Amino acid sequence: MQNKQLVNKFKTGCANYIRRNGGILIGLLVMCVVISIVSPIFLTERNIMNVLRQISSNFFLATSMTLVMISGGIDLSVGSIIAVIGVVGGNLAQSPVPIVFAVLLTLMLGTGFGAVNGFIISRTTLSPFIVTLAMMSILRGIAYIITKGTTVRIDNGAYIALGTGYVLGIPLPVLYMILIFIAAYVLLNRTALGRHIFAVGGNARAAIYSGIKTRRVQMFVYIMSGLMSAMAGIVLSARSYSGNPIAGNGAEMDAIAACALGGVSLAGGIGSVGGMFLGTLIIGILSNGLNLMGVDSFWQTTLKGVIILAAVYIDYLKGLKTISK
Amino acid sequence: MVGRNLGNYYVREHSHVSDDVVLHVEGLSSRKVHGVSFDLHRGEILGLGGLVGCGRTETMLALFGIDRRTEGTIVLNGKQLPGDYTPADLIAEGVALVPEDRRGEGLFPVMSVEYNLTLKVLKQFMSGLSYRKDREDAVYDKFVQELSIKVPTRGMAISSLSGGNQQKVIIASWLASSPSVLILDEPTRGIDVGAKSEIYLMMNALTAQGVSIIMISSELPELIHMSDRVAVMCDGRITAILEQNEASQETIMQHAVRY
Repeated sequence: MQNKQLVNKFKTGCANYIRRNGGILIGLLVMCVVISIVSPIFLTERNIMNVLRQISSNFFLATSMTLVMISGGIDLSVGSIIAVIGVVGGNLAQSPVPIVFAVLLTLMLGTGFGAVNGFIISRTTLSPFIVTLAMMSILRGIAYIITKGTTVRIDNGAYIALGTGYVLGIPLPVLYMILIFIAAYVLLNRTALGRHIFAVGGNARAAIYSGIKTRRVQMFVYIMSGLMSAMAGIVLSARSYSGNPIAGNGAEMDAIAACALGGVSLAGGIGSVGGMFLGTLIIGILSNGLNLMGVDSFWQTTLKGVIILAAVYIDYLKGLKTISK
Repeated sequence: MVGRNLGNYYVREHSHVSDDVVLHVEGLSSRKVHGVSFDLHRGEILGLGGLVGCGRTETMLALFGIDRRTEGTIVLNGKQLPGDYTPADLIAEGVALVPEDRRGEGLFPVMSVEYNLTLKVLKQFMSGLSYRKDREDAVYDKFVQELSIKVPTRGMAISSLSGGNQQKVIIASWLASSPSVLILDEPTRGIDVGAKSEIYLMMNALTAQGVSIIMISSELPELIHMSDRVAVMCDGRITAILEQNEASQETIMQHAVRY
């Protein structure tokens, strides 16, 4: 009886998921089929792990971007935080500082950047777009200032293992991804804080009337964004053996695109971790597939834009249909 | 809406008022409110009348902790409140405010009906990481039935309900927090007569249970017939507090323009 209930619950859960993300799921499947026909390498275990590793840092960013966007905001500074964290983390890794402290310090630094964003945005009526745009420029500059424009080479084995190591045969970045997915899912679906994030993005004024401490909620999402950017910064610098001040250039756009593909509304109040994950997969598999098919990288960027536009347009058409019903 | 008996439209029985003072407000001031004082008794409906823009809503916003207060002593259930409380503190003390602007301040349009109804009482079914969906459903079912809210499914967006049902969901979301003081700002504006009379019935039932209500209304018949007393405001001040037998359209208007 209990089992039957659980099975039913699972079935309705799956049905809901497919109904909500139907369009993007079909798109993803079509893409996978086409790529695997053109390139036999695509469906090998090695390549799939490769794709998962590659999308991991975009997934970190897109997860926190989902929280930020549901709360009605946006964070453009994530790419620049990646650069600063990579550079600072690289320098610390090359210094005698114990690796545990180096990692903790860089994570705290990222959290601090997020807190500055959150503080300004929650205490004023300045638009999150402008505040984080300014922060994006400030932090990118700082990354260049620290390295004087050069790249920090990293050869500290422990630090590099953070991005390239394995646990139980699973690459560490993929493991982080699984943990972050679960944490974000639980946060948004099973906690009061998650509901409050939706409330702030759904109607900030009504949230205040409902006794929700909107400032704290905003602080929280931007701090999470800083923390996730720091995670991405560490993983990226470890995987590339270097702290590069150009790292993460345009990363905010990939994260926002993944969210938009996954049905997270730019207007706030709407979004899910499950949808965002599909968005991340589409962007990741698209780059991987185009690479495997030997498409020129200039064309890749253009194609990515076209596909994003097509996906959100289909979503828009779907919206029109439900309204006219 | 069709075929309902509207004969006994205002159903107030003025027999639920007790002498206990639930809420004592003295010298409440903010940017738009100047030295407002009144007492609210247990089981009472205190009407708040006056012309639009006379500071009724602003008085309630200052009381509720949304607008900044410059002065004022507030005693709730015999306990004096500290100077810097927030809406969350007041809600915890059992005060609820159903705002005037339903769309702008009351509801979360893109969210589901159930989300809107249970948002104020998350503590009843969520703590830490534990989430009791069955308890949330129980809260929802109870109030949908009690207020006879017409909802096809609990998961649909609240914006697709009718105005009257939206208003009922908002009121229900506050009733779920079992308030002892309920502030209703223009509770029947823009809703059909059927839902209106249901809201009057509900107000009556609540006061019978000992809930006290402050009702802001610009509709004079509603104000006169539903209130046990009517406080009239003009230019950010209370110009008169009329007993039930003194309140008439003439006396209210007379005090509403007494600058």
